[in-house]
Amino acid sequence: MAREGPIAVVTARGRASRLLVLVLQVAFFVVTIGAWEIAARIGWLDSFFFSRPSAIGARIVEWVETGYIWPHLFTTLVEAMAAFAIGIASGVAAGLVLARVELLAAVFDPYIRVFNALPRVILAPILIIWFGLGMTSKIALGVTLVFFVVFFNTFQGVREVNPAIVNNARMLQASNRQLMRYVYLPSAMAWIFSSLHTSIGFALVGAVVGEYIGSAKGIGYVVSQAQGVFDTTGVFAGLILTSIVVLGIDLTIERLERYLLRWRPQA
Amino acid sequence: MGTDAMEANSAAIAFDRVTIRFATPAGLVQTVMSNIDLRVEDGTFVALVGPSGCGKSTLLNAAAGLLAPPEGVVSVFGEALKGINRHAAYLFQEDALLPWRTVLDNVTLGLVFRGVPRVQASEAARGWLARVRLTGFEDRFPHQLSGGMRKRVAIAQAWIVDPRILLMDEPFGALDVQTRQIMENELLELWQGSNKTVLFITHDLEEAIALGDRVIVMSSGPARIKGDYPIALPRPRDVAEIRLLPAFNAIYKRIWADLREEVMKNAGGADGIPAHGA
Repeated sequence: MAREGPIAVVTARGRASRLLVLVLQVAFFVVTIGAWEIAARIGWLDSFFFSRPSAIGARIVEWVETGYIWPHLFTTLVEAMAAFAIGIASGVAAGLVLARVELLAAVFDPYIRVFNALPRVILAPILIIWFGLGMTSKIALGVTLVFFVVFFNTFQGVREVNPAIVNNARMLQASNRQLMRYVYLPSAMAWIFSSLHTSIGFALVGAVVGEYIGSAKGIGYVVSQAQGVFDTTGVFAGLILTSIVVLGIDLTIERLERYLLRWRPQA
Repeated sequence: MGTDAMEANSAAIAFDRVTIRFATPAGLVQTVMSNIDLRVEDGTFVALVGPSGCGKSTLLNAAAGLLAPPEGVVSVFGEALKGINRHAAYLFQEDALLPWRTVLDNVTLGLVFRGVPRVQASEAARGWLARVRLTGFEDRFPHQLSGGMRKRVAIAQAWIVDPRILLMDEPFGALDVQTRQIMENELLELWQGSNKTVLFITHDLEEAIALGDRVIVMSSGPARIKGDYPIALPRPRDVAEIRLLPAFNAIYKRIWADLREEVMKNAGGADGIPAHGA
């Protein structure tokens, strides 16, 4: 087919530059981490406050080898994933309904704005009072963060639907439910996915911050324990583990996104 | 059946003193069309021309049931229209296919929405794709097709439900001239002997005459019906060849005299006179 020509050219060119980017990325990593390590070793940076990359790496390896980190990581992940799932489900549902029912959107608009303006982290203490020191309070905190991101994106996505597509589906005699399933939801999907990249981070923030404030398990707990004995290496190790986990989940979302949004023209 | 007798003397679409107004963003009321009376007889191909922005699409949307006129009645086969016109399929000016569904899934939509089992719907869709010469493109997404191919998918999507009425809003307006003539011929071929009623909107008088049994000229806003011309050209027609007939030219001149005034009014008296035929 005619369209294979230009695409092949683009990939060939894309591959060459991708290699360059990768090399530069690795170089950046080596230089920054190397500089940190050397600065800490020769005394420019105080290892007590800034730790050393090698020590942090060793700590992570130690945690993994002794198995100390697994129950904590597991707890945090369960909390984050539960908050993520509940937040997405409620955010998408609320977004679809409010985008379709003008009256509800008008009534709830000021309340949603006020609640969204609230810094959610200050809810953590009250959520712990309500739901206790267990997982529930962390999940609840994560949900308050995830919900709004997903909600606003879904709402916008539904509002942006091409009216000609809606009218066409109506002329083909789609029921309201079919319109939702065949038109509004898929149209909002691109918006929903872009919100998921942000909200997976938020789900984890909810879990870790909740644990940090009050719990007996989880990465947040590990970090707060380390901080309590001025163990900066432990704090950094916890931080890095958390980012690796988020990165892993984000990559999975991206895979799913690429599959579900394969109908879109390549930009 | 009793309804048959009733339908026999009732038009496919009838507008009875239909007036449509919109509220402008500034809060004013704008009358888009006033007191429209129009009968579209069953099985005829009626082309509606008028200057752009005169409210042709609004009229079509009223016939589709996508908007309800505040005054007057639109009836379909003798029954006052309430909600979506269930006898009609609509071909839109812009792309209205679901971009997230494959060609095959787009064509099956009308059947799927009506509860036809998927296997059966797919089989019918394959048949229609063959008729519009798109076999082999079933698994493509709309963005992977050319503009003309997307229009053919839209035609298959509209015809698969076997509607008695086809509403078309400048469906080929965005296509290049050659593709457009091909599409017009394909449309005529499908329509010939189908007994379907077509209400076809265009701002192109040549297209209107080449396709229609009747050409209706609308005035610019508020829209009124200004002229109604029977087109006594032989069928089957080839849209490219029919333009060369002297009879075509004569009809064109007569209608253009009528339409020109409206176009000029709309263009602010600019030199908007396209020379036809030469």
